[in-house]
Amino acid sequence: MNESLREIFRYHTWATLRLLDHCTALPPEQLDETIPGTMGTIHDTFVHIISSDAGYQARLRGDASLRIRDAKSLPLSELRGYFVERSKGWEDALDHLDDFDPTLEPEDDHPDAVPHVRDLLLAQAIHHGNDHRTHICSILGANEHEVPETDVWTYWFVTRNVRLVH
Amino acid sequence: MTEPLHELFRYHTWATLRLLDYCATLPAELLEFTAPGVYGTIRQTLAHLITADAGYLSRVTYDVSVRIASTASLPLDTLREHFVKQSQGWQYVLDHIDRFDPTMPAREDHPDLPHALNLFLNQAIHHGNDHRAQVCSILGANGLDVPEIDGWMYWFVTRAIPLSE
Repeated sequence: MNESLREIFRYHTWATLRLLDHCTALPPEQLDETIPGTMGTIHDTFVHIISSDAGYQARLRGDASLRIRDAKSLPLSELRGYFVERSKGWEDALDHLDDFDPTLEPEDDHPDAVPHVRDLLLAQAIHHGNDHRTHICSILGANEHEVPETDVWTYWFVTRNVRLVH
Repeated sequence: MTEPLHELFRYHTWATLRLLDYCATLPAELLEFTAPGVYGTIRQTLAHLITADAGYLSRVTYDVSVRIASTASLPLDTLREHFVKQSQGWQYVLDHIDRFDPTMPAREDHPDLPHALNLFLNQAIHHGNDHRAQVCSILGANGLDVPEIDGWMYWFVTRAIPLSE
């Protein structure tokens, strides 16, 4: 069972990096493209994916130093470096999940502290990455740019060296 | 260690049903809305999400009766009934996970893929997220309300956490 959850996080890492690397190769002006119904520009969406992901892990571990400061000003290459580091952190956390029992501090929308939110943070990290990668793929597709294959089939084929028939 | 994976699938169920129920309240013509860069109309996307989910479950359990033959003309309430049953099927799989060791049969582009349980679990979660996001994009792009279906809202609603007005 642990391996199943681990695969889901590995896929989260693989798909985010694959999409990030694809977008890094685009002309800079295309990173400022967006479409209605998404979060913002391609660059802003990557900032949001990666800084939020770091925030979830910071909450899980109770370690505010894991948050990314001034992420909005960072180029994709630096965001990538943070994301690779945080992905190692997720792998490590999955090895020791029983060690974590975080509490969500009160915020504007929920006035009370919310205890025992480990599984909330894990579910949200997976959902959030998926959700915003989809936004970026929609922006690429709507602007008639190539959309990289970042689904789980491709993940499986690539990471298992499955010989594809063309 | 089983609980985080169970929670992911419970979230998958909750978010899909919440979005489906919201869309079921819309005038029928709005279900034919779409937007650039997504899969299709709202109706087509929800049908695809639920049909594919049934297909993944069927691959894991080798139970072809789970598959949905044709979704093109199915109303949302019928799709909902299918999805509720599928969600119960996923919970059964997670409760007895060591019993399942499916092979993804060869297709035109790939050979047999043995030991593919984690492929199907992963794809079910990803695929649901992906297409729910697209439906939300269509709603937002057309100026319609977008229901809150993220992990936070799942947790707050299912744990009856008091929220600010």
